[in-house]
Amino acid sequence: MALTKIMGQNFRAFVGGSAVPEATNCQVTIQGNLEDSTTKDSEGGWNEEQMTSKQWSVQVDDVDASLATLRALITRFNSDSKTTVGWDQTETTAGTQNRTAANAAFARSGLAILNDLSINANNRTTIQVSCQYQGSGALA
Amino acid sequence: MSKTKDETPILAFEVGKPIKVEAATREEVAEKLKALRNDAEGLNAQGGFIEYDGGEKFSAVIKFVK
Repeated sequence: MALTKIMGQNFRAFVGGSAVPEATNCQVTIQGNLEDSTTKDSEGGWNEEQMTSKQWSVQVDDVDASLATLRALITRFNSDSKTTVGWDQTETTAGTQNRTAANAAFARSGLAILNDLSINANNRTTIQVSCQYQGSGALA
Repeated sequence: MSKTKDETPILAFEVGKPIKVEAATREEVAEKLKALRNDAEGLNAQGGFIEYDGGEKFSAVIKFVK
């Protein structure tokens, strides 16, 4: 059931239709690029702007650090392929590990390219893998 | 949801088998998912994320398990 306030643990990134497992953080950025359209006719000394393009991306931190996941991510990076990426509010039902998409009215998705993959390896700790998917086309 | 004489629900899907839902809008897919969830009362849902293919189609795969 959808909650009024969305808690961070219930805001999950989905890649290829599945919630990204074991991540500790995700960040969604939606940005519009503006062009100054101010003219001599503009009133009151205020700038006027118009949207020239839009972009979006989803970053996921501390994904499952297994060898299989890392291999899959590198293969995806090398392939330049577009994958369905998005987010949804999740709910916990038995055996789903908080990975069930639960708020279709809130969720958004689109095609995106894995364009940033970082691996951080500190001494005596599990490696940390983060990745960013840059949207290609509409977020709907 | 139809029921037999012994009130056992007849589901339009198989428990444990993924069901793919497709439509032209996110809202239509959401409605179909909602209907499936209603039919599957008492079962646990898995998946259900609505994917946009970048064109004119939205889809989701949902599975119900006991």
